[in-house]
Amino acid sequence: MNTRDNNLGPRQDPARHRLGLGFQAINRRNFFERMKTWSRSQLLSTYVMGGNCCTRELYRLSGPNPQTKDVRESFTEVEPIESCDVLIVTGVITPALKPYLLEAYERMLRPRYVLAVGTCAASGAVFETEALDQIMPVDVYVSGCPPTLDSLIKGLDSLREKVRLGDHLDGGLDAQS
Amino acid sequence: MLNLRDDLYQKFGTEFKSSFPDKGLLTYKAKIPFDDQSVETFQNFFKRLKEEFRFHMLVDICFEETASGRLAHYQFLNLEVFFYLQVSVDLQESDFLVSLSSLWSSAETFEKDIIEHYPIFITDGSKTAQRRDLENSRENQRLDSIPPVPRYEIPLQPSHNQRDRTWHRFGPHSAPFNGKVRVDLLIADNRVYDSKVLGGLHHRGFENKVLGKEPLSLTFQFERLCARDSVYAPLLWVETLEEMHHISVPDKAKAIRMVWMELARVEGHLNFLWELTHELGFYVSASVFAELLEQVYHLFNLYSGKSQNYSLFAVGGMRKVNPIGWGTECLEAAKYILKIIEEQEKGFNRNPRFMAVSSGFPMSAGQALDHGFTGPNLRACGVNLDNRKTKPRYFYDDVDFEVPLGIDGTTYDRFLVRLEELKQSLRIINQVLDHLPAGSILNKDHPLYRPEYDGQANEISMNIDQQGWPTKSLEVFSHIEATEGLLGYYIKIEEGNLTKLHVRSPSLVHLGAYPKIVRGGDLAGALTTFQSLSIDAWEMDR
Repeated sequence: MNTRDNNLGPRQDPARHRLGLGFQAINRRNFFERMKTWSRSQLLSTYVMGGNCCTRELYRLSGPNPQTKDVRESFTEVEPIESCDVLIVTGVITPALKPYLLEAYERMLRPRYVLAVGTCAASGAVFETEALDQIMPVDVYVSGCPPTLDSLIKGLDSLREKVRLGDHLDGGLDAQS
Repeated sequence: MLNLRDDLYQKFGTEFKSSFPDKGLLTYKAKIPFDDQSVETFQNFFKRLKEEFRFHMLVDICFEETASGRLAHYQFLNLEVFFYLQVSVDLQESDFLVSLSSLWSSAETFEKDIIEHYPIFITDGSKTAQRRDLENSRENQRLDSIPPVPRYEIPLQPSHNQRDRTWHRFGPHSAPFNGKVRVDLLIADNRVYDSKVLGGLHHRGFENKVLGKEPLSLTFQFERLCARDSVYAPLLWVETLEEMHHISVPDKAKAIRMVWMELARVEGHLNFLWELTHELGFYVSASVFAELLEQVYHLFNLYSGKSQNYSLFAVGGMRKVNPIGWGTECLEAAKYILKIIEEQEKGFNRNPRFMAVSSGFPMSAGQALDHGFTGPNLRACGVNLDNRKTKPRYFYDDVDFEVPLGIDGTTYDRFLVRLEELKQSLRIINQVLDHLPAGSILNKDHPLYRPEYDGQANEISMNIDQQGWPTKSLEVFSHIEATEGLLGYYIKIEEGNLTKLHVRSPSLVHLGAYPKIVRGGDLAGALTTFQSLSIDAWEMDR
């Protein structure tokens, strides 16, 4: 069974979280399927879009800080964008930036994961711009203006857990509209 | 300076109005009759300013649309006496703005910025005025017109055929343009023939959204103006309010603000060094700079509990008293950073491997001034211009420090100038902390004081009737020597309301000159040069 053909995404089945079907769905998969998602979660390649203060905090994760050792071991920043698993979006979503974000999302590896960092990407914040989930499905939000190092580490950990369970929202842009 | 002022009075009449005489800012209201024939008159007026009165640098152009008509404000700097002049031109509902790009190259950048945000024509002296508006400029740079090419796929085979020149799109999906701007380069034979820059990806209407709001509530937004550091932008805002209301600041608060300004400079330069060395492949040095950066973040955390956006500056002083032992921590960190930086400097100074990748695209001092460069990028070209020396605020007069200068204006010079500036900043921090004045940290005796400033109240007790703006009409251009250059705010207040705010961003100017710098050079050098200009997209797009 191909991972892309899995129809048990949360958007398709609204009662999934309430009934605990997610757990059953994971167990229903065969060994190779689980092996694939687990191995993928061991090293995730990320790409950061945005040029604001959250980015400055994000780059601290790659610095020689003992607190961020686990993150450095399980996440790597890659170029080109065709080989990246996780798109990390920071800052405001402006009309000028929107086509480039969608383009980046199209060019990523499947299934795609999106992490929204900071209040600007999540809701537009004080600048009253568009929220990121209006244009693409967002897997994990990290709150804060800017988020602290701890919350960034927690956000990346929960994203890694999602990858391990194969729990993604990526049904393609057409499925969302 | 007085002679220059008298000369200006004599030549142009007595229509000069002084906003802040001690800052050396004069305002001249020009009413030039405006039609197609007057283009030459207009340009001759500014030519006279440049040649007779030696205003060699065009600092900024601010365009304003009011109910009565349109205004353009030009800010100039005379480098001999460090004298700022503002010329306001009343366009009287005209649809044309005369281009000054033949006199100052930086004018082209500002004019491009204006036509992207206002419906106005730019004419350059020819009889047919050409309209260059937003749609036309974006038409050539549509997303589908040039497909994205990852860096490893760029054809680098030698080819001397002109027909082989093709456009390649760099950014915002590739380093070093990561999410900042989009740059299209015309490449053949590993050589850049032409380039186009498309900014404005992070334009969020900052200047319009602050209008009609209370001044104190805006400090929060000004912290989020620059992505590079969150000290200079809110501090300049707070200082402007203090100057408007004639509020004095206690000596201790002045000293601590100085320490914060220099720490922000250290942070900005360390960020620059980290990114550039990482981009050029000096990974060990990059990790050393990153480690030093963590030291600075630790100091920020100790004082304010945050590593950025500190909410620390209040009108009349500082919100928090410096914690016990913070000064000692600062001195120890400064000592450690200085030791490591000196070690690194030995490795990079005259290092042939480093010079091979970083000494392309030289820039003369005249070119840099013409393009309106400021900050370390200008000083790398050999121009001794630092607002901390020319218009010293706080105790910059009393501390010893030097202004390091480069020679060629290459990436190598920009790197070394920042490295040396970093050492000078640590020197200033040492001197200030050694002589930290005693006393209060906040002046409470002024109309803008709020109890939540010093922890007296948790909730904001803002009185709606008390707007906080001066009641008389006022026009201000305040500026500060930020990490990467001259950061300035043009502020206009009418009948107790903020009617215009314009931010003079150093990054916009540096990016505007980028296509001219890289033309004719090699591709790798063009990418390194972009990194070394240290563009902050968040501040540039506002």
